[in-house]
Amino acid sequence: MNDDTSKIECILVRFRPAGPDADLRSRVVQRTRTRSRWAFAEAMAAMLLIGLNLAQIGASVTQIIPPPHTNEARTRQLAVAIARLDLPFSQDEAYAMAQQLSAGERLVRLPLVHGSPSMNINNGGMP
Amino acid sequence: MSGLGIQEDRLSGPAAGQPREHWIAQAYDALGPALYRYALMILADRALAEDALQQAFTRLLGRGRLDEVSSAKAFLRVIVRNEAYRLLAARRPTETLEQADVRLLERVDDSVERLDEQRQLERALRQLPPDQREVVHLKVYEQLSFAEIAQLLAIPPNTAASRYRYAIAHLREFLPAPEGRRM
Repeated sequence: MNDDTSKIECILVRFRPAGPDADLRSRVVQRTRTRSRWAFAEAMAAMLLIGLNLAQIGASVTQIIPPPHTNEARTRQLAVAIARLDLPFSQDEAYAMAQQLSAGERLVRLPLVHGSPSMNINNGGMP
Repeated sequence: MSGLGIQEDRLSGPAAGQPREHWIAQAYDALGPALYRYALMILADRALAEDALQQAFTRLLGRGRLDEVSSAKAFLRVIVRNEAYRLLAARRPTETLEQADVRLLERVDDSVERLDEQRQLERALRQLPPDQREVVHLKVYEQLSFAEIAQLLAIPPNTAASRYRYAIAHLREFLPAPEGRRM
């Protein structure tokens, strides 16, 4: 470093970068406090959204997964049997119910999270 | 700063039951003003320097494992630096240095009136590129060696030294000699 450098350094050290305003400390603390509250609110909102999504997925899972291939003859047979029961169903409703029963016969039976295995068998594997 | 969990070379998280804002206030008392000066020298703008500092402390609060940090000052300095350069990049092109807040320096010795000299030096510093101003700050005001500056900025020591030389040469050009000649 030559003499000129020393001169410049001498000028520089007569000063220093200006310090922060006195109220910056309180603003920093206030901001982190606000941030903490927002972080909590964000976490709660995220949990709520995840919960709602899971509930919606759970409700629509039978629409998402295509129904298993059903035996048409077996479905008709069930529809006729349901119609003979003299229940307050229209023909279409009886047929839809027969489709559900027929599809239920083909579902892979998995243990339910809620309820016993016997319940699982009785309702055709549907929770 | 024993008992606060915050030291120059050691940073630990808030103690059990200690509100985080208290811990942040203590961290600010220990390191805030020095970090603000560093941000100010990079940005040459007081409002942006405040933004950089606030953002740095917010990030510090969001950090999960503070025990992994070996040097509080170095850690926060990197955050402040990153934030300062992010703000520089985001600054609107229409915002010129003349529009920026003017108070960049303060006198070390208040008994000596050097207002003209201060204004000239501020103007000269504003003419420097931020990376040169940053090296001047680290070398002159934080008294780091070129090796330490190089480590902090992740650049070779020769680059740090040459940035400093360029900065001094620019300052020499912009600062008039006492007798009216250029230095």
